Order: sequence, then C-alpha cells, then structure tokens
Amino acid sequence: MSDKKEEGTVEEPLDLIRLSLDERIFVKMRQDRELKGKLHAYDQHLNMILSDVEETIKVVEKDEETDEEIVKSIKRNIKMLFIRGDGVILINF
Amino acid sequence: MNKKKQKTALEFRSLLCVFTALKGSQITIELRSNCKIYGTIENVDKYMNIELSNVNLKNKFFKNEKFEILLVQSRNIRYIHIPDKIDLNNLLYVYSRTLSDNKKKYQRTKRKAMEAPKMEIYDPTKN
Repeated sequence: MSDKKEEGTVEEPLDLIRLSLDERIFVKMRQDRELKGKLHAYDQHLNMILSDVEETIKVVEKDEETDEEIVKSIKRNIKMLFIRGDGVILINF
Repeated sequence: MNKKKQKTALEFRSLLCVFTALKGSQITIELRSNCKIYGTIENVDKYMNIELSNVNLKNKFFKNEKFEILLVQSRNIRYIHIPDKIDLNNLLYVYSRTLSDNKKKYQRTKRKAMEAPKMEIYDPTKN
C-alpha cells in the first residue's frame, strides 16, 4: 500500500513531516517548551526522535518587590531525545 | 496470514519498536511532573507503559528516591533521553532480524485433523 506510494508525493499532513526527515525542525510543546533538532523518525502519534536537541523552557517569575513578571528562558542541550506525541502542539520545518 | 503481516508492519510503523529494541539499556525518562527517572528498561507494552528496574527517581524538589522495580504509566511520559552510546540504527536492524528469525522459527505447518480416538464399546450381548 504505502510502499507503492512515490516518495515526495503529499497526500496527507503527515507526509509533509516525511519530507523533512533528516532536517532540523522546530517543535512547540505544551507548557511553553520549544525544541529544535534534527528529525530522525516519527510515527502517526507524532512521537518523534530528535538528535542534537536544543530545548528552551519559558518560566514566568514574579519579582516580589516590584510585582513585575519576568520571563526567563532556560536552555539546555540533549544529544538524542525521544518525544511523546501527546505533548506536541506544532511543528515548523 | 495477511492480518499477521499487517500487524508486524504496524509494529514497525509506530516508534514503539525503538523501546523494544532498547530493552535492557539504561535510560532517563522525564515525566510531565518534572520528575526524572533513571533506570534499566525491563519491559514495554503496546501502550508504551514502561517497566524499569534499579530505579533512581528524582522528583521536582530534587529529592532522590530509589526503587527496585517501577512501572511508568505512558501518559505521564514527556521525554525519553536515549544514551548516545547506543547506535539506534544497528539496534533496530538487529531487532528486525530477530523478529524475522522468530517468525521463521515459530511458523506453523498445517496439521492434520486429529483422528477421533477409537473407543471400544462394551457390549454385554457378546460372548
């Protein structure tokens, strides 16, 4: 079935992701997390395997003296990461 | 037979096979509750519930807890860190080989229908 399909044809949204296999993508996750990394594999649940990931977490902190809200972004790097699909909001390639 | 083929194809289409291939290796799981769990994968089911052994759990207050065996419900998983010393390509290749080998090993040949056991009927009129 899917073997007969020519590579490069787009029939459904997930085929777009197939086109960006082995390329760097941007993934927005729940709870203000953002990932950038090279896509190695994915499945229909949007579970993904990324490598050389840079994760950015946005944390809002309240300054107790001035009551100002400060948005802090924490960055970290991960070599190889499996992402569970239910946390994914959008993918940008 | 066709159904069976479909089933194995599905198994490969979903990323679950990665975990089955990772069985026995040490990984880190990050939960939605910001817990971190270090442990060895013992078993994975089709819902991605993961059974770990020799577990070290670090909760969000950075307190350590140790467990011998722990089952992680799949819903709570956010990330899984795969150690870089593991070569995924090779692992999956080996896994697919063992799958196909097992398939050959346990292939069933057609069996003949069993003959009904012969029963001797006691007939008191005889003799």
